[in-house]
Amino acid sequence: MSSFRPYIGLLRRDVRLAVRRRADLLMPLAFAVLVVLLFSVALGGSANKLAPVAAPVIWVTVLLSSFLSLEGMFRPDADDGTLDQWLCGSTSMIGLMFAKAAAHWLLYGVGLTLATPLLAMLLKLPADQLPVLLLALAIGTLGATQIGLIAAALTARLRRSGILLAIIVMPLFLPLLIFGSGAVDAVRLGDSPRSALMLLAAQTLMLLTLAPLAAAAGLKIGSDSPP
Amino acid sequence: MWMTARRQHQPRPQGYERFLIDMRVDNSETSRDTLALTIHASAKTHRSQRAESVTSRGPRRPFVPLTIDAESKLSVPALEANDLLCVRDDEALFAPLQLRVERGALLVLEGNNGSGKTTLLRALLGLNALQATTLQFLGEDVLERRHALRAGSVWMGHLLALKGDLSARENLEFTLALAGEAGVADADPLFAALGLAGFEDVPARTLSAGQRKRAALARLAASRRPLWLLDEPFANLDAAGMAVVEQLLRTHLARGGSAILTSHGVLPISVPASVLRLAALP
Repeated sequence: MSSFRPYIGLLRRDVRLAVRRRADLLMPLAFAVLVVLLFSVALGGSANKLAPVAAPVIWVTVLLSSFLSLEGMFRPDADDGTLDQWLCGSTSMIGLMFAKAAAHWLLYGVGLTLATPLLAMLLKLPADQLPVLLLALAIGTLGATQIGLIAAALTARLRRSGILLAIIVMPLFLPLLIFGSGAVDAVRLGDSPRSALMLLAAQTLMLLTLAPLAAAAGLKIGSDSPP
Repeated sequence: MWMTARRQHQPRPQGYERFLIDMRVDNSETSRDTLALTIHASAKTHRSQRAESVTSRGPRRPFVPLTIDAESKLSVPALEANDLLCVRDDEALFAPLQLRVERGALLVLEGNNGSGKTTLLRALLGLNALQATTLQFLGEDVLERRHALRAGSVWMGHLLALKGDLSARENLEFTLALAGEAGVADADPLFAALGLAGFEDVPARTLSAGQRKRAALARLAASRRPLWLLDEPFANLDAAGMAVVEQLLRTHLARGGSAILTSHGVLPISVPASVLRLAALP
């Protein structure tokens, strides 16, 4: 298995770096909790007002806060020369992109999914919708990470990429959002969430296969100008 | 990930030999932190006579096993390029070059600021655009596909690719792992030789500029690749640090490795080198 060593190495490195910078890791979680709190206050806190919008609000919040961590995906590596080392090395960029996305999802996607029961409680989400919401979020954040990977790769060497990242990422999040919150909506209306979840998973699978290719190409294009 | 698995295993060339380079700090002999070097071949066929002829003093400690092909292809230049040209914004940076670096040789690229030294090194690795009629690495054509050259060279630029939150030891471990190079079992003697003893395990951001440079040099000391491309390797280093680089270069050249480095002034070392001056276009 030695041929996987570079990719496992990158995964381990990113996890270790995130653990060294715990504050950065907790920022998206804190943001999500605060946004959800604002919503529940704005809607008056009553269960019959909150319950129908709980799942969509959680979905939007999670996608927005996953977006907060995107700027840190490649920027530090581009700034300290690590990215150049990858680009002029013999390790496959596609493999490295795959590992990068995996690390990012493990740190942020899984983290946000695990925080979801707290968000659901704040928004008084009916208990029968929670398992489907968690499953949909676990799949959806994996897809969202892949979209973020492409956008972060394209903007890795740009100064002040924040707004540009948002403009690239938001429209691409739409299909995930439609089927992700659609799955929970199906449960609320008494239907089976199966088809919505399947379509969500299909999108995520497609993104998983194509996004590392696109991100690797994006970083290579960006390398032709001196940093 | 799966697509790349097959790329990782390059067939080893014929006559492949594994050398062990033994480095240790020898405080008793010299005042500055010089590296005392002993080279012995561990290849079965040559073991006996080599080990006798070059082993000098002291107990040997296996240090960086060098996997570059030291015996075969010695007559083939490490890097050879004809009519080499770097272009930026449709303008050539310097007059077309003939570049030839022999095995075990050091080439120094000289030129004023902005003459294209760094761009040339980056272009060789495919980080910038490059034009040439031929580009060969160890006899293999790498003009179209740069993979063999990338797999056989180490690049060190102004940006040191060190993570401030990781220690020098972790940085070395991950850099080698991500490059697909073998790790160093015991890195302590390596860091001691670089003058970083006692600083291996503190976060790299707390190190001084010169210490960070030394931490980045650890990647060279641990590398087994035959070609080093070094951009201003003496920047930020004190006299002892320059001596460390000199010793690294001497070891590398002695084991059949080659190096290209850039400089805009007099070299602070006495390693024999050929000099290529990048001339501006008229």
